Amino acid sequence: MHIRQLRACRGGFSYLDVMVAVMIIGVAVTALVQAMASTTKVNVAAREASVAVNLVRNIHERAMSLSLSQVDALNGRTFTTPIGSDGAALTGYDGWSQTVQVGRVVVDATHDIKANATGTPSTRLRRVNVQAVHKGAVIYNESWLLASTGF
Amino acid sequence: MRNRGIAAILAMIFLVFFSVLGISFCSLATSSMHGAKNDRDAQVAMAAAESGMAFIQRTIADITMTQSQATGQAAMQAIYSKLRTLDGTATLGGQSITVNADFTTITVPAIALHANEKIAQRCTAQLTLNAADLTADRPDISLRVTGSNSNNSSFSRTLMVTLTSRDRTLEAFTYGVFAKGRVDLADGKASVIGTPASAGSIGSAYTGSTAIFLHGGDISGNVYVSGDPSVLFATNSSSGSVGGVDIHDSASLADALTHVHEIDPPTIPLFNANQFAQLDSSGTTKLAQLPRDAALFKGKAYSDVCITQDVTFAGNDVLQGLIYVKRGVTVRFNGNPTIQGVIVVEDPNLDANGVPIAGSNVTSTSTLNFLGTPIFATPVWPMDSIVPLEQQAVLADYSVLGPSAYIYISGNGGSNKEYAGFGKTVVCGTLEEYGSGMVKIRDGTLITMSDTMVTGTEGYSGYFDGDGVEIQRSPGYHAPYGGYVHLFSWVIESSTYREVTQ
Repeated sequence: MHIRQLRACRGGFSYLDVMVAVMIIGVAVTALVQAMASTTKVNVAAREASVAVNLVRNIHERAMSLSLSQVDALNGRTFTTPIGSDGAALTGYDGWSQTVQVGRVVVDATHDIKANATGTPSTRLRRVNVQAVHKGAVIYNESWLLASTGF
Repeated sequence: MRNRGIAAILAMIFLVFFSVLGISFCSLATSSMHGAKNDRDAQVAMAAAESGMAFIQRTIADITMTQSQATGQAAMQAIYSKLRTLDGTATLGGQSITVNADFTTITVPAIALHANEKIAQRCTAQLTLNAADLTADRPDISLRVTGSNSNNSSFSRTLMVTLTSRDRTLEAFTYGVFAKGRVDLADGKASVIGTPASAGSIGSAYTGSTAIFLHGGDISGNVYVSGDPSVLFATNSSSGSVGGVDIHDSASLADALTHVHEIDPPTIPLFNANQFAQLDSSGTTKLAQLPRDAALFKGKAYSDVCITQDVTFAGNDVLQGLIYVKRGVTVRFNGNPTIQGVIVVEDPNLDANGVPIAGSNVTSTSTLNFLGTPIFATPVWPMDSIVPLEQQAVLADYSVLGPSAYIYISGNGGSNKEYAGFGKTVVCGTLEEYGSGMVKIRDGTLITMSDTMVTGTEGYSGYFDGDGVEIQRSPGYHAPYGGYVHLFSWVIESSTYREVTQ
């Protein structure tokens, strides 16, 4: 009697219990895996965005230390090995590149700012556009005006 | 039987645990993404603020003032007048610049920095002057610019700097030859050679076609033109050189053209010759009057004279001190006279203006002809009691200061191929050069101020049909400081650049 009762108590989980538990945990784990995948993806994107902003900022700070003619010389340059604000090549940025475009800002009679304007008369004002590109995709694009410090 | 159902409970616990874990992951990812986005938006806002600062700085830098115009209120009025040309433009979104009643605060409404692009940056600016500085000379002005990302107006960055007045650097003095108009190196030998190489450069402010024309000579420095180099620089020869690069063919020409640079419109010096008009002493008895027959004075020395009649000097004559030539008088130097001092020539083309010329041969009041082989070093100054010290300091920087004078140089340079050697900077309206020799300038620049077509110079303000010009500058060379109107503008004092955290 005692043994039979014990056997009854150790009867364990029913198939139904196990199936329900496995199903619930399965759904949860699946959702968790998806969440992790999504999180990883978002984190990668966030990291890329941060890297891109910093790479553009490098060019921005670099440009601020250059003369206008030196900035002009950056027009059309693509740094397949990204550079820092001191102009030195950076390591650990495989697949990244910085693309620089420099355009004139012509302040005409109405003093409208013309993006990408060319021709004369020129001014000592430039528009610098930098793209941070990762594996062919533009991650961040920034544009700003730069003036010569002299006359 | 009591243990039945524990699996479901455990499963629920795990479910909650996994749910919390999943939500945490999502939250973490969202935070990370938000952080990156915030970083980006802040960067865009900062770029907008910096762009606005650059735009205001550049706009204000175009304003030039002289010392007499430079009170605080005058400066604010000039800045306001300049900025309000933006009124109603797309740049300001149709709005207007405003100023308060006492001209101490100028407010610039939102500037669309990149109106034609997807990047939506805007900035506002404010220029402020302390009321106490309204009557002060060249006071500092505060500039405050707030930039924002128009797509996310919650992000903004504010920068402040102090604008301080600073003398304008005039590029004209940095070149070996600078012309307001066109320069033609017309002869196959006509060259511009400099030591150091930068002294062999040519700059022109001319914006029409062919500002600088090279016919086979050498330009040892670079060429600077104010516009498209392919339009403003031309050569018609398969010889010569630019920047040390020989021109043999189209390939070498392309290499040479890398030394032809486009520059922004240079600031043209405004030479001030009026200050020397007071040296005219023809109405006084202090200076001796030359007799009409100059032949009587051949081989003699003259000191401190005011020439009121036409006169011709021969090769042995020596002139010292101050030589003042009245308007309309023709003075001719034939041969190789010695000139130790300053010749001041009234320009017949300018009423009541004096044109000081130091160390020069003169044939008329409007034309300086160098027909012999005179060589002048730095002028001698024996006239302390006559020329005020500040004017002597000005004259010491120039060999010729005749912004509207026409200089004609011709002759044989002899074995050293040098004629018309000038010790200092030469400023004239138009210069025309012929002969076998080079015009040599030591420690100076040749500046031609004419921007009109002059028949005698084939339409060029600098016309070289001889061997050209050689400029030799010593290591301690410095550009002239006096003799021209000093201009200044308000520029950013970089040490005051700061971000405002409010």
